[in-house]
Amino acid sequence: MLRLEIPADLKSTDAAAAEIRRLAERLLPPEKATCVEIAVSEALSNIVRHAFNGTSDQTIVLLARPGAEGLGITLTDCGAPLPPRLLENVPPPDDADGELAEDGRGLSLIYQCSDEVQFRHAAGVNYLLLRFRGEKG
Amino acid sequence: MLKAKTLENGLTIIAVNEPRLVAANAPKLREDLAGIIDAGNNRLILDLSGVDFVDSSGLGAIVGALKRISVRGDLVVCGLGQSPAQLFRLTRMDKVFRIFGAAEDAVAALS
Repeated sequence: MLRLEIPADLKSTDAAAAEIRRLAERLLPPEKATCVEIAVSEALSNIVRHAFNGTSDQTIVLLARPGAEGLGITLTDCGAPLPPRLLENVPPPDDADGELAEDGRGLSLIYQCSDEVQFRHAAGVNYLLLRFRGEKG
Repeated sequence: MLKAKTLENGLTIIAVNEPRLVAANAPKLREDLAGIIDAGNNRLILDLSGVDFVDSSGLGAIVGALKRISVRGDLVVCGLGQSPAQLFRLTRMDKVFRIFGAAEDAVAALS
């Protein structure tokens, strides 16, 4: 199991996504490892920008659990909860407000790249679980 | 972050000297691309051969450059590694941008 305490700023979250990529490459095929990096990168950026409004002296805790079926990653933070309506109708990433949209693809990519996504907010804490199935051939 | 070289035929090859185009540096990428376009360069080849990873913010900056050029010129992409190519496919940007293997291929096609 890998545990990272990540400062809630975009440079630190990018470094964490790259570290998770290195872990995923040991467990999963290259395209799946890329999916892990994309999903984790987008999720961490969303937390910095939306849960912490772009800046914070708080941290995000990332737990990565390799298992027989692949890799499970949990992100925990104490920022603002995700608005529930955001998760109700997530468009595909190629339809995020039109094909030439300059932003808005993050959430869609998280869903497209992950085999399972669970979000819950309890007692002031956000929990995001991402699961990636597969094994390196 | 960017190194631009304009050829005699008016094509500008832009090499990206950052291994990761992500939320942390996407504003700088957007600004630098806009500066190149606003200086009058509008037939651009964006060489991503030095880039290992692109996220949705980095992609958004590249899409922004395409929109800034609009009908005045062209922006094509070359040198996509495995991970950036996968992002372009996932977002269907491989249908929006013309993508070439190497910069020389793009130069030959656009000349």
